[in-house]
Amino acid sequence: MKRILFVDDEPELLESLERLLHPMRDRWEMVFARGGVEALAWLETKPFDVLVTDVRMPRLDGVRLLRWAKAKFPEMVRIVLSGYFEREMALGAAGAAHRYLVKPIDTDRLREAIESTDGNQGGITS
Amino acid sequence: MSSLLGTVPGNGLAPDGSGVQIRLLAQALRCMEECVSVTDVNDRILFVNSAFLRTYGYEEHDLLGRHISMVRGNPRLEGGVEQILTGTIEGGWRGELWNRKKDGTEFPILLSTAVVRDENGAPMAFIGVARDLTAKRQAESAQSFQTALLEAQMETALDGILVVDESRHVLMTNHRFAEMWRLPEEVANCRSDEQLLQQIAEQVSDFEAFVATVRHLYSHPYEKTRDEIPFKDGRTFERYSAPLIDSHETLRGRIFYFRDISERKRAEESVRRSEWRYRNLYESMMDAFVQVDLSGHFQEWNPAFERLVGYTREELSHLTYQELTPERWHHLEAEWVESLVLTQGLSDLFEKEYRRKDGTLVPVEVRASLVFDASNQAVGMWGIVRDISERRRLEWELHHAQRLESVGQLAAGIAHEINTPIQYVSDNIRFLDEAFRGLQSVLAQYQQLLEAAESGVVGEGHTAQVRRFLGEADWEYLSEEIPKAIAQSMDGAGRVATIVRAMKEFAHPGCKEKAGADLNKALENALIVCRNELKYVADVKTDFGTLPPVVCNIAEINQVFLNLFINAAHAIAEVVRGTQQKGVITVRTRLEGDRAVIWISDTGCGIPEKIRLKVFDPFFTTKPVGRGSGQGLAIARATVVDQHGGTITFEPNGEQGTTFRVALPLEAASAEVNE
Repeated sequence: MKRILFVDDEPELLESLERLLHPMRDRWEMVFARGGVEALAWLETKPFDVLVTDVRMPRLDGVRLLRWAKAKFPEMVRIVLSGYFEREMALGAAGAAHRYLVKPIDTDRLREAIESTDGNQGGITS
Repeated sequence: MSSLLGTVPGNGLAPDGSGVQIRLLAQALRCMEECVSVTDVNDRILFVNSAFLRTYGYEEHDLLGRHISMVRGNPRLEGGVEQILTGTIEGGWRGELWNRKKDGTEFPILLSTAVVRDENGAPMAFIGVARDLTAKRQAESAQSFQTALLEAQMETALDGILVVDESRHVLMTNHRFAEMWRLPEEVANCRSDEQLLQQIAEQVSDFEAFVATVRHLYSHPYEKTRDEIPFKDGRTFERYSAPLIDSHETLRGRIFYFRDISERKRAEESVRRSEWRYRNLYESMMDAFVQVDLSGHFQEWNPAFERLVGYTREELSHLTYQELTPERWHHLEAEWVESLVLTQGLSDLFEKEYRRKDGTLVPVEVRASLVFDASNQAVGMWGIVRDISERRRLEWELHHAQRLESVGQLAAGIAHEINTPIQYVSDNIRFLDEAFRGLQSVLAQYQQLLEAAESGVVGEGHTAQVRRFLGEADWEYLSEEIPKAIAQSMDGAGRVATIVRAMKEFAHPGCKEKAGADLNKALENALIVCRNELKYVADVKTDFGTLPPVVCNIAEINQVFLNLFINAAHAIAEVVRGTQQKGVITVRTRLEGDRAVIWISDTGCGIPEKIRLKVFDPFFTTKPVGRGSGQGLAIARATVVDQHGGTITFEPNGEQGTTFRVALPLEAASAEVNE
């Protein structure tokens, strides 16, 4: 079972994502954290194989979260899942994330991205 | 006496005497104007004629036989009286000396003498013919006084004087003449007109013209002239000439006066130049200049003013400035004139409009001042009027650019705001789609179950199939999540609709008129529109009081709110960046008297003391390049104060941040600015 932490500050987004990924519950152990601060708390609590986060969030944004995670858990696969492509954020995340995914994305592609990414490879290049 | 005469030799008279001839002669002597006396060799008087008696004041018997010396006064004769005798004896003497009348008065005479000789040539008598010179001397004296006077006048005159006779000989010049014309002494004293002209030729700018005038004068001797002679060295002489006519109406020549008017000319020239400069400035300046009397009638104006208002000179002379001013400015302008011009004499800049002849409006800026007459009575006003339509256009463009800038900024934020519900709506629909497919296969099993039931054979297998499919479809989960997904999707669609409506209301496209508006609603819309700018840095608290509709241009006011919110967000971002904190933006509204007041507070970085005076200046910004044009607050101020007659102020919050306070009159007070 892959342990995956999903992070987004919008509760509706998080819920709909959870519903969408419900069929994956047999293969993935999924935790949905509302915002960067909550994600940080989860990461301190238990190990995760994959971190999938939004970038623009209040208080603790995705870029800072990814950087922190990279420093603390270099093995973890770090993926950006954003509602839109934002050049500034993409550049900021470049060194800290392996993939930068933009919605809408179907379950299969998301599954593929999460399963195929090897945590040992370097960060994404923009 | 007759015996004596009878002895005159060689006189053509018979010695024995022709009584007739002697009497004739005597009669002739009596008739002479000159005083005739005959004396013997001892100077005893033998004969005097009637003119003698009359002149000297004697009777004949007073003199006959007496010594001639009795009529001599102090002769005042250089060389002595003896010369008279010696001269006479030698053939005759002529000279002037003084004689004495019976009453003792002395008078000058011109005396001619002759000697009468006997047949041997010896003198036997002397004849004296005297002319009274009193009158002549008096005339001479008078003339010499006249001459002295004239000369003194000439020499003391500031003018150079030249007198020539009809044949162009120089009669007189004064020193000033020589000095002015820089004539060497020999030329000044020469009597030749030609030589003078030569000397002069070197100096005057246009010798040809000069000579032509001289020639003209000689051929028109009775003409009086006055002209100016320019010099090469920049001097200018004024030449005045008149014919010289004596008391007998006889032309005697011409007199010329030359006056050095260089100084006057220079002064005139400088006045003329300054006048020209002023006139030129007045005529060519782009700003209009206009003067009115106290009732507002146009008195004077420059061409720029005619161009500005499009009326002709003639038309303007019948108009008042009030007639060219749109009605809505009348009250304000009258107030302005009253409070500034009439009380202080000078006004600040005042912005208003004129209506051109073609009916179009032109925004202008006026600075006026009172006009006083010589007795210090205010008689009118003058003003400098500047066409500011170009500036207005630029301001509008800047304003527009600033709006576009914030619209551009907002567009991204709004896209995000819409994108979020779209995302979860689409995720939910995807979920519903998959859920429906799962349910379809469950329904297919139910169908088979139904058919089996109808045929009366429901086997164990049928119900197991249904259960299996229900489990595979995770019906328990679906039955809980499908309604939530539907509700959330509907909610998301509603959120998009709300944002779109807020945007539409916020922008108010094309709305330029003032109308009653709900400011609380406007603030809500503005908050929605810029939610994406705010939500990552701040929570928003609203505390809306009840507000009646406020007459305003809501599109412009929205822009003000938006600018204030975005500024608040930026100020907070300065503080919370890099922390896990969020700031707070508090929006409060209240009705205060006849004003709606809005407070927008932030917990941001605050405005440093030293820039507080500048924050409303156009182009003033502390934000990095690309973050803001520096126009936001300047436009906010222009909108609130100039357009709506409200106020916009700010003060530091107690602990942190800034509170902006916007107060708007419920009824629009200020005249609307034409755009």
